[in-house]
This record gives sequence, C-alpha cells and structure tokens, in this order.
Amino acid sequence: MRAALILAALLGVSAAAAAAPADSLDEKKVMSGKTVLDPASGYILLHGPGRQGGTFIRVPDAEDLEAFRKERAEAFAKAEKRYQKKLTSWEGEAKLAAAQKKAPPAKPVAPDEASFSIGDIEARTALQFGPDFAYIKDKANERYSYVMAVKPGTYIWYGPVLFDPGQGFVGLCYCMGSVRFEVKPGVVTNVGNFLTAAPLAEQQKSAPLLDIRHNGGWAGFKVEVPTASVPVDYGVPASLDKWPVEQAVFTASGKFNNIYGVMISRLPPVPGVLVYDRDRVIDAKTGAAVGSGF
Amino acid sequence: MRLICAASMLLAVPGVAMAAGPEAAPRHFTESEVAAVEMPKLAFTPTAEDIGTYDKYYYFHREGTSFDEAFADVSECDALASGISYYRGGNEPYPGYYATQYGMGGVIGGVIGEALADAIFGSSERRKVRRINMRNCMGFKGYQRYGLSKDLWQAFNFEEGNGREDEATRNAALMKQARVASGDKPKQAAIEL
Repeated sequence: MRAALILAALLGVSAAAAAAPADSLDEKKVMSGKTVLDPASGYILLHGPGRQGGTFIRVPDAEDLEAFRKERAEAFAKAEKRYQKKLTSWEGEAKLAAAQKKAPPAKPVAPDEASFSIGDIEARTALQFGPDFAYIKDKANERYSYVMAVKPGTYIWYGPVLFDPGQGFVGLCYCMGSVRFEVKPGVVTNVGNFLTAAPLAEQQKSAPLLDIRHNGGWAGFKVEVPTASVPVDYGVPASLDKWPVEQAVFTASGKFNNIYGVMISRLPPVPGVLVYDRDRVIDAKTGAAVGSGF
Repeated sequence: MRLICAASMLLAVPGVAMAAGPEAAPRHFTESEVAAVEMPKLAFTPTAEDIGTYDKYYYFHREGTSFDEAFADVSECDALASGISYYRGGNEPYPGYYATQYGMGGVIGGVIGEALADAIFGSSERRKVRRINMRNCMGFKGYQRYGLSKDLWQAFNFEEGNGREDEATRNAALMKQARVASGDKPKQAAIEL
C-alpha cells in the first residue's frame, strides 16, 4: 500500500483517495500474546479456499463527514485563492491584448461552491485487505484466513478490488448490489466464507471477466471470482478461542459508484438477504427496494 | 411530467416498496425531441469477421421500454462503466459530490482509479473493461444484446480507453443508443450477455 501512496503522490492524486490498507493481524503474534484484543477496535475475520482480497467501504460516520466537510472547505478556499491570482493576471493580459488590439485570453472561471468536488467520501473510508498478509495460510486444506483490526461501523462489501502497484486498481466492483454488516468494538465479527460462498453465482449471468491478478508475493496472486455457491462455514481459528467472536449479520446494500474505474458487476443473489428485480436491489427480509449509495 | 415519469417507473415494479435514498428523476424527452434523434442503421448481412467481433460491436434492446427509460439506463451504465460518480447519497448530504444528473457528465469520481489506470493499465485494457461493464450493467437491466458490424457500430458508439470522450459526442451517442434500445424489436437473434 505504501507503493500506492507513493504512486498516488507522483501522479498528484490525494492520498486520501487511495484505499487504506487493513491492519492485518498475524496469528503468531496473537498466539504469543504480542497482539491483544483492543476493546475500542473492531475486527473482521473471513476465510476462503484460496488467497482472498478485496475492498470494504465503511459507511462514513459523523467524524468522517466532519473531516470531509473541513477538507472540502479548505480545498475550496485554496481554489478561490488560485482563482483570484489567475483573475489578476488575466486582467493584466486582457488590458495588454486590448492595447494591442488582439483578442483577450479566456477569462478564468470562478470555482462554484455548490458543485466544487474533492472526490468521493467513500474512497476515504475504503479499506483494502489481502491477498497477502493472511492470518492463516493452510495450503493443504485450501483455507486462507484473514483477520483485520478496523474502526467499528457499518461495512459494505465492495468486491474483490485491489490496488496493484504495477497496474493501478484492478478487480470487480459489486457496484450494482451487495451486502453490508455491522462491526462492533471489542468483538471479532465473523464473516466466515459468506462473501464468496453464499451468493448464488450459478444463477447470475455475466460477460466474461478479465483475470484479477495481483503482483504481490513471489509469483503474484490471482483472486478468483466465485462461479458457484458452496456451503457457508463460520469456523473460527483455534488461536482466537479466547477472543469474543460474533457471526456477522448481513443485509442488502444498494448500488454504488465505481470509484476506482474497475470492472463492475453485482453480488449474486443471496437467499434471505439479497435479491434483485431486474437491476433493483431488494432487501429479501423486507421486500423493500434498497436505495443507492449509503 | 418528471413526477409522472418517475411514478410510472415505480409502478412498473408491482409489490416493491421504495425504502431508502433519493434517486435522480429520469430526464423526460418530448415526442419531437425523440423523433429528432437519428435512428442508426442496424440492418446488415453478417460476415464471419463480424460474428467474430460481436464481443466488441453490439447494441442493446429491451421490449416495452420507453426512450426516457432507455436513456436513463444507458446513462447510468455509461457512468458506472467510466467511473463517473452517479448515485446520490441516502440520508447524509455530501456537498458537491452527488450532483449528477442523467445524461450529463456530472462530478468526476474515481479520480485516483482513472489516473492510475490511465498511467499504467493501458488504453486497450480500459476499453475491454468498458465493454464488460456495459454488457453486465445493461444485462442486469434486462436488455438483450445483438451483434453489429464495426462500421455500423461506430456510427453511434465510441471506444473509450485512456482519457474521456468529449461530453457532446458522448451525449449524442447515448441518445442514439437509447433510440435503438427502445426501438423496434430486432429481427436477428440475441447473443449471449
């Protein structure tokens, strides 16, 4: 992720727009007692048959919104300052052009407070994990677990979207429908293999996708997009026996912007949680359509 | 009229109650505005080469769809495909962010995604991603896909790799795509999503 931030800086892009890397836990440190449960932190535990990787979006809270408003106000003030400088310079150029009977240069456009944008707030609360930094790598049983310490809140499964230093953002955004769940402080929220196992991928048609390759590790990793549902498994690693663990409760989440410009799809339907009426996202528990965004 | 149009869209989904955040109202076009949109030529005799490039050159159509609906749909899919912020927030106001309107460029989102991808990913890959995105998005909306020859396709579509298509060209193409998507049912067989 450091590479992402360096590259972002080189390209003149705000580091705030890059997904933050998850604070991944290491099983050895948990077992040795070097890493202990922080009651103020939330935790997400998940696993899958191969290397897992992707992005969660935490629904912005009041603190995020305040920070966003502050950042925007500061950026707007800077934009106004730049505009005033350009305007002064333009006035001189326009006078000179008039004296020389030439056409004046284009007048600078004042920034508009109503439409001024600093980009996506959700990019500031995005969290990326994997495919490296697995909590457990069990190749023999094809089980890779990931545990990450996160800020408590509501998390939306954005999809297997990753930053790769050699390619930029790659992956598949579930921009047209997904699920969300709560992460409480002082508790490990167990997502199990739900995100890849429960969705009925066999029922959803898709255009052929490009491979999602990440160049981490020695030989790089390919993150697989599931093509069929399998039994959901919420097994917890023995090393977390003494940590409070709660199974995640999933609800349907609406459409989302493709903030990284990657491939788009939607999480296939999940019985009892997520269904679709054409492209309308429906909460299977209530039968109500789910609005877009947060 | 916008209200009527929005209401008619909701009524098209019986038994579904809208629960959350506001959606942009679809833009309404008058009959004369729709009639002024040139209907692209679609009839052709496919060659083996045409058939071999249907993954690139195609159009969408859905029966019983109005021009307003089709334009809203292609605009939404175009925004998603190109990484433009489109959906508005639910309850929280995010000033200057969810300001998009149907058929307009709106606020550029995915700044880092586009910048990095343009710098590294390559134009050809980005064109592939756009095709996948349009196919998935329109497919989820229930549109069928039909193959087309390259020259006919180019008359009302655009490739987009690095950079962004000019907004006027983009909008004119989307209008024609909406005309086709809401027009007469194609005589040829639909192809796979």
